[in-house]
Amino acid sequence: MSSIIEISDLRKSYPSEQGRLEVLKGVNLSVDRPQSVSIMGRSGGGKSTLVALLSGLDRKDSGVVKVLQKDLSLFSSNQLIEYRAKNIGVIFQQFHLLPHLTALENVEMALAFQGVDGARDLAEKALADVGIDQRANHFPHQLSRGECQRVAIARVLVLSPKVVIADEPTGSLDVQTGERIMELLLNLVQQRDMVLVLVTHDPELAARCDRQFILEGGTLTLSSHEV
Amino acid sequence: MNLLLGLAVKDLWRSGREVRAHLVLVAMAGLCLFFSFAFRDSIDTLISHRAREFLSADVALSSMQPIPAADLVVAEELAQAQSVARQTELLAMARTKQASLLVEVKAIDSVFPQVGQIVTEPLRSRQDIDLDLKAGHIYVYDELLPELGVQLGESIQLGRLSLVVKGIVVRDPGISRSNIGIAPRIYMDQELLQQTGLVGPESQVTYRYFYQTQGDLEAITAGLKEQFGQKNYFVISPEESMSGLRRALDSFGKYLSVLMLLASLLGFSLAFYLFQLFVRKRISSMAVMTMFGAGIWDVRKYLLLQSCLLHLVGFVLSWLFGATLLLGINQFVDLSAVPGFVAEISWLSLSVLALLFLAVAVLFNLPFWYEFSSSDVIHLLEEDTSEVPSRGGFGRFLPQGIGFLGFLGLSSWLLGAGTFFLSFAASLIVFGLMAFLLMPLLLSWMSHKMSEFSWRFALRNLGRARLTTSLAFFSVFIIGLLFGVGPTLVQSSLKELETPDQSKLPAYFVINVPEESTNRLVQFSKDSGIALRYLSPLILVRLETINGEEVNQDELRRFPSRVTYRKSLLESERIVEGEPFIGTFDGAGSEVAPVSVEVEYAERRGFKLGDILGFNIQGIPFQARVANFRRIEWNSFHPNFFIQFPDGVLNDVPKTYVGIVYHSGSDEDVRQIKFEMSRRFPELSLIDLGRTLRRLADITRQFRPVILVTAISLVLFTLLFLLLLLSHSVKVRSSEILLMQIFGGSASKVRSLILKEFSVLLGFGLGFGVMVGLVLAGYVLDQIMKFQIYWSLYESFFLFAVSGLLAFVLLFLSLTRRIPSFIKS
Ligand SMILES: Nc1ncnc2c1ncn2[C@@H]1O[C@H](COP(=O)(O)OP(=O)(O)O)[C@@H](O)[C@H]1O
Ligand SMILES: [Mg+2]
Repeated sequence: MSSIIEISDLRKSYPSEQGRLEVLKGVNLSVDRPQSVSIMGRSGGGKSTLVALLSGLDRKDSGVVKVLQKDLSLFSSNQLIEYRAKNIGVIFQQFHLLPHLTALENVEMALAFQGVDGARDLAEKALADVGIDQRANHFPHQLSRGECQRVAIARVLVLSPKVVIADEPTGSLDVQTGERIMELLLNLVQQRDMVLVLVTHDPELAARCDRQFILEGGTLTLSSHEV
Repeated sequence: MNLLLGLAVKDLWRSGREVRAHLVLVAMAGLCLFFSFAFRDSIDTLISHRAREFLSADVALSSMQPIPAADLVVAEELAQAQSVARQTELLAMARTKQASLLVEVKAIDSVFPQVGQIVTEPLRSRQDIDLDLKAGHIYVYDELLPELGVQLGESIQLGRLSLVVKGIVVRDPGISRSNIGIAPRIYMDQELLQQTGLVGPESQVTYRYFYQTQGDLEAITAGLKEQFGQKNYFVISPEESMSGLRRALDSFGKYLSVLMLLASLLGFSLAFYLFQLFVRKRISSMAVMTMFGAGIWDVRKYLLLQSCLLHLVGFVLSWLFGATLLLGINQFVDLSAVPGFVAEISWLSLSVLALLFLAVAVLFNLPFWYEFSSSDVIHLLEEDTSEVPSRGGFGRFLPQGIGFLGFLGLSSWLLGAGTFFLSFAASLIVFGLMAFLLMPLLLSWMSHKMSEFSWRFALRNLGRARLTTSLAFFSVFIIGLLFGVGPTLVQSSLKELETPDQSKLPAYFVINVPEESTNRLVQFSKDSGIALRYLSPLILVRLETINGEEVNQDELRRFPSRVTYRKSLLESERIVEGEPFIGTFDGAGSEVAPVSVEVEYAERRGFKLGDILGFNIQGIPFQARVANFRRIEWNSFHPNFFIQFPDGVLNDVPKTYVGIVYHSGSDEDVRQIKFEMSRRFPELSLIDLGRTLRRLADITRQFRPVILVTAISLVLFTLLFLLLLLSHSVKVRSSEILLMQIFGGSASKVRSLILKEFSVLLGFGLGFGVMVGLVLAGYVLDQIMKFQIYWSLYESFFLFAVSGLLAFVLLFLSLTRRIPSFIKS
């Protein structure tokens, strides 16, 4: 089977006062079928950096990042935007909903950029899938944080990307809500044969993924949990 | 407190660009106010310092008839006079062998002038001048020599006398140097004037007595007025002697103030916009401060400190700029149109300006104070820079409301117009209601109607109840307002000052044409190939009653009014209110005769349509009903009259005629024919317009650049604002834009979205602004400046289109530059 994610010898550094700060020092990862992958690591370890590179939000120093066999670094920025919208969904800790759009419109926005017909119906259905169709016409500030994250998930899933990347999606939620959101996310991703890359602090959550990695010292290693 | 101050300064110091932009804005806005103040102050100083010099004394008594000696004794006593100067004044034709010219003869005694001086060339002491005058010589204005073709030492004919020109007057008291005097002056001796034979019962002579006094001027003036009120003498205080000049300068000052005030309103609005961005970015850090022991009052103090510091620096900057510019103006700008004018600002105005800045500093803080008291710290902590809708209901409109009222108060004070205050307030409150209540409704209604998401999205973006959006809208509105006001205001002011097309100008006025000479004069002009036109009867009447009540206005009672009658209006006249005259009035049905009054004259006198005016025409009482008001285009130089009757009313009354002569020949031809005319018709007076027009052109030359520069810099200023506004609002949204990119919003898609949004904002804002601006311009011109309105709709809409386009291009460019391509969460 062809690979869905292929990362090899990925390096990234930032300029800092004491020379360059090497954050990623040769990360390798390969995912070749729909499955969930967790990445753990201490804060500041470079997880978000990895997410940014994997989703084409930042430029690597060297190495290869391929998503669905396409090298992201070969795209122009507009091509990248197109490609990402079709194939890669990103979920953030801070939801990042547009404050002046309703839940429904936030989802609709994603479809609108793709020029999808019947965007409204699809958006409604996506909200129903994450269980908040009742609150479709509420604004983000009228929703709880859990509900906001559901909207954010719906906004990503409605585009049916092959790869969903979530950077600490439950990080700003209480434990119970986080639990339920993860349940939902894992189920939806599984149903739809998507790849989920989940960045988290929580070992329990990580354990629910098919494969578990630890990002440490700038490289990615399989965690001991993996059989 | 010291800790807070330290933190506040550090914070300001480190937020470089934003703070600099804010400073530039408030300094420029302050500069505009500075200039409005300075102009007012300069006029005030001019009037108060120069007025005595202008009058040449402390108080004067003036009459069209000789004043009996008994009255003079009383007047001298009432004025507690230390000295009395006498002057007799009249208009007459001076002649030489080749030319003739209307001159203003001033016959003086040795005491005149008590204040100020007569400066001559060659320079002579007052005693020497007096000796020359007593010896039968004269001193004249320089333009008189070439006109009459004489040199110093040669003589000119004045009435029966031939007088030697001994010297030139370079400076003298009174207005005619600086204003559009009808004729150049001749100074001569009192006794000599009698011998010219020009002073007779028929001639229009003004007798003036000047008093120098140490007494209380106000009381003296009042006393004199009281004593001589019934006797048709005119009491002139120094202030009154300058009222004409003051009116002219005030109009100009108002024009500047309107522009300056609008610009400063715009500047402060945008500064407010920047300030609230600045604060929003700091809300979470302030919340953090509260977590470490700072009370909510400390946070407020912190903000207040910052804004006071900012505005203090802003004030000092505008002061420095302003003072430098004032120096520059005095140094380099030719202000000779208004002699004695010194650009300056008073300490009082500076203090007012400083207080204004302080008030603005406090005002800018109010919404945040309000917000802090209505939110919990935890909420503030969550605030994610500027993207959170502000809380606090009407509280956040408080500063705009107060600021706006303050602005109106200031405007009406500077413009000296209470009605302006009210109607401007009313029109903008209506606008405000429309903008703040209707606009969101309209936008959300439109967003529901729109099927395409991107338009809905754009409208939704605008519809969100955000301070930034309303401020952005407001700023665009103000820009539109300026575009609406500007061109019409500039156009009308320039037209007001403009010298009319030379070819349409008459060569000279002919006055005092006896009725029996009219036919001969018409024949003469035909023969000599000149166009004598608009020959109009001139009748002296006295207005005695209005609606049966006796007139109590000094001027009206003492001086006869000049009136005319005509079959139809001149091209330079139009009726603005009431019925036009129909045909010749025949008095059938014992109807009261209609009369037409010039609209501003009517306003000054308080006439209303339908009022019955009781005239006395050479001893015969006569009534007329005010039938219409006329507006006159004064710079057409037609023989226009304030009061005008239809044909048939006054045809039998004794009268003289006035007319104008158009002439297309060379200057020499004009001189020749003029000379010939004054020789054949010695009783006529010919008023040369060349002189008047040269003065007009002079003044225009000096004021035109000022007007153009203010207008152009204002437009540039506003475009700068627009740019700042746009780039800031895009910056504020950068996180939003990034987010859209993650969901497939490529640069072009995002750009088109924002452009859609701005096209709605620009369209509505500018359109609205231009409309309100036009109304405002009309109002200001018509009601405040009393100018004739020349609508410049094309220019307004041209500016509207150009600035819209420019804003679009600028936005497009700044979007291309600013839309970031990569982010990290
Ligand atoms: N834009 C940047 N410039 C400089 N250093 C950065 C930047 N982004 C992240 N870093 C540094 O890179 C390291 C990894 O950060 P990040 O990927 O956000 O870690 P994590 O998400 O694992 O907490 C941190 O030490 C951080 O300080
Ligand atoms: Mg992180």
